Amino acid sequence: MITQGIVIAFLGSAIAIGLSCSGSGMGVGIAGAAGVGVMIEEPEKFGLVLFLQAFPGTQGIYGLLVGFWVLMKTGILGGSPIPLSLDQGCQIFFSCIPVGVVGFFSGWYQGKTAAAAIGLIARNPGGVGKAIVMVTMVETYAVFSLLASLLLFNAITL
Amino acid sequence: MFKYFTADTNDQEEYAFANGSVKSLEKGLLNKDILDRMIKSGDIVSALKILSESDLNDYSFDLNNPSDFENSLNKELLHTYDIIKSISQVSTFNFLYFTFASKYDFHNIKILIKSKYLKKDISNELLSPIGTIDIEKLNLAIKDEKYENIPDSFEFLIKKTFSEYNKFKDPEMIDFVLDKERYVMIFNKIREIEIIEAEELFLKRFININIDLNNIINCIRAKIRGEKKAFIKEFLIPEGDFKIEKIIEIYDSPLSSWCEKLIYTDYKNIVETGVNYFQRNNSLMELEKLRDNFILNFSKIGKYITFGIEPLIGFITAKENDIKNIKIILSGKLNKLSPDQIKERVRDSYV
Repeated sequence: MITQGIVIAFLGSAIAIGLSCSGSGMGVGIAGAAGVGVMIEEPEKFGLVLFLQAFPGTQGIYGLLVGFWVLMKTGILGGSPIPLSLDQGCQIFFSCIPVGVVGFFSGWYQGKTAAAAIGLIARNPGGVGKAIVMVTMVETYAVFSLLASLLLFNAITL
Repeated sequence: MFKYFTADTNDQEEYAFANGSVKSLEKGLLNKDILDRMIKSGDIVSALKILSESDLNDYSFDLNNPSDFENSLNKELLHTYDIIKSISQVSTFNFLYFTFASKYDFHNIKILIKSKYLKKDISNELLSPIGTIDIEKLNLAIKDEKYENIPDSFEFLIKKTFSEYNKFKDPEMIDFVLDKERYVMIFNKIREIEIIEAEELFLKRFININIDLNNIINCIRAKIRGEKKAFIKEFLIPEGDFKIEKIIEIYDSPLSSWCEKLIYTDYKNIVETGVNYFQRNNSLMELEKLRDNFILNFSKIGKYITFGIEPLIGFITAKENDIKNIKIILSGKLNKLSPDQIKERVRDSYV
């Protein structure tokens, strides 16, 4: 039976996946454009560029993880959804917010940092370690948001 | 909020590609260490070897014919402009390309008009292939007055230069008229394109600094030539940050007192040091060097910006500056100048 709670849980899952993947798409796009610019002059830097470009893609994975977990736990994925109350639906919705919103912004801004890091390795390949540290700093907050979403979701009694 | 997102992300996508290219091109710029080693080297061949053996693979010279370095440097500059053109997909970048490359159009026009009036044949080596208009088309327009193949704006300025020259019969007039018309053309173009506010600020400031320094140096030249105030009024470019009324106001006072009138501007030190050098050595060399350094130092902001037009402006300015420095060092070596004499002429480095 489709209850109001299930609809809200759907929305939560959609936000977790949709927003975080959008942020990742933007981030990977920005870093990719910078990478292509570098590879025009130095095609041999493909490996390093790809590595840095991939960083903003993780937010999408985190969002997908939370979204799928919501769909699985609520039985939506199996085809027999649990009849959730409106309260439970709202709880699921709010638990999806951290990974969705933080995923969007951190993916986008990590893309900018990755593009700047690609600029750094273009000029100075020896700086790759420092470049990775800078890009990873943004990742920290995406990981926190994933953790927050998982903890919040785990606290909901279904 | 949404508008901000759209504008910001779209611009970044456009910039990211060009900025990535520029960052990897910056690796080929000369640093102070290489310049110092070239200056201290024994002769032109050793200087060329230092350049060729450094990590910079941008330059290739024929060591058997070292005096032909100009040709190699021109090729390198042309190659740089080709790259800039190929990555300038956005309207602002196209404009940027025009801003820099049109300098060579005007250089070609100056040479062709002078050769027409002074009835001297010129070798093609004096003309630059970098400009936005084909040399042959310019030649046809200037020598035979056939303007079908050049833009209307260029037709207008060539005709204007002809009429001004015919009024004064002075070849230096050609330089004054064309220097002014170039900036008028750039400002007309800037009104045609859509640029975002942050870009506009940097771009306009960059152009304004060029105009101000051009105005000040042209005035100093005119003053040295003993021209009247009415003469400079005609050729000062009005769009700069430093208002032309102020320059006209100080024009009649002695050159040595100009820096006092410029005390609250960014150009005080340039004028003070440049004029002092002129009074001691009767040469504007120092003034020109300080002008180039000022523009280069302003462009250095491009090193610290990830997305935007600043890295492009910085890179083009730096590359032209590098080529100028190499020419100064190699010509110095060819003419047996001492390292100190060469060092005095060499500009700052971008890196």
